[in-house]
Amino acid sequence: MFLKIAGSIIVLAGCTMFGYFLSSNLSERPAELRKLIGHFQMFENSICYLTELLYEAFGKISKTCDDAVTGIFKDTVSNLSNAEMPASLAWERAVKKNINRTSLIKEDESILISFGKMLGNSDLDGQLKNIRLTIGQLEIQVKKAEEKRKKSELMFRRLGILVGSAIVIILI
Amino acid sequence: MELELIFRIAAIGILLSIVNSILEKSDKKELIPLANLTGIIIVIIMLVPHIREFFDTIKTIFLF
Repeated sequence: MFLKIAGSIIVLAGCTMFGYFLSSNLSERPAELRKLIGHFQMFENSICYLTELLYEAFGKISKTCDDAVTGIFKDTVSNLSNAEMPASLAWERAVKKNINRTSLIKEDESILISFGKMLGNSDLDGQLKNIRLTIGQLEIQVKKAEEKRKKSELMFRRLGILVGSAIVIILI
Repeated sequence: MELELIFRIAAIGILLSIVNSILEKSDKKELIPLANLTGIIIVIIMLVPHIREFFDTIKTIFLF
């Protein structure tokens, strides 16, 4: 009897935690996208008004905070300084390396990679336009992510608890 | 006949109705039939031995 109670508590707690984990993934994505937008605005500032070089600007951004999103900028800097590769390739590799540590999805990844394609192969005007386009696209993604979060955050939490209790009922 | 089985089926029914209302609230209506089907299958699997027992009883009554 004691074993049964202990087992059902463990199963219930596990399923509840899984639900909370899924919902936390959903609520992290808009925050990370906002952080990316902030970084891009900083980048725009530093190449437009401070006329810094690409790796200087990226180095400055990567020092502002320490998480997976900022890691993209950090890895781009290290790719650029360690290996001789074009900026677009360095950016793409950094994105692919760090995307799994974030809660960003494929769509966000493709936006970031298409930003990298233009990186460092046009004049200042072209770069600024590219940054603004990326920021606009990311803002649309933020809106979508917020909508999704509103709809599904509570659902995942409650479904976790319910599925846990269903398993307990079936197995008891 | 154990009463426990009936309680278990009732609990699954209650859980399913809650799941239905949650799915409907969060605009995932396409998942509702799937959840219902899962519930039905679970209940049927639980009932299979008892149905078998029932047929066996009928056989012994009518066919010796």
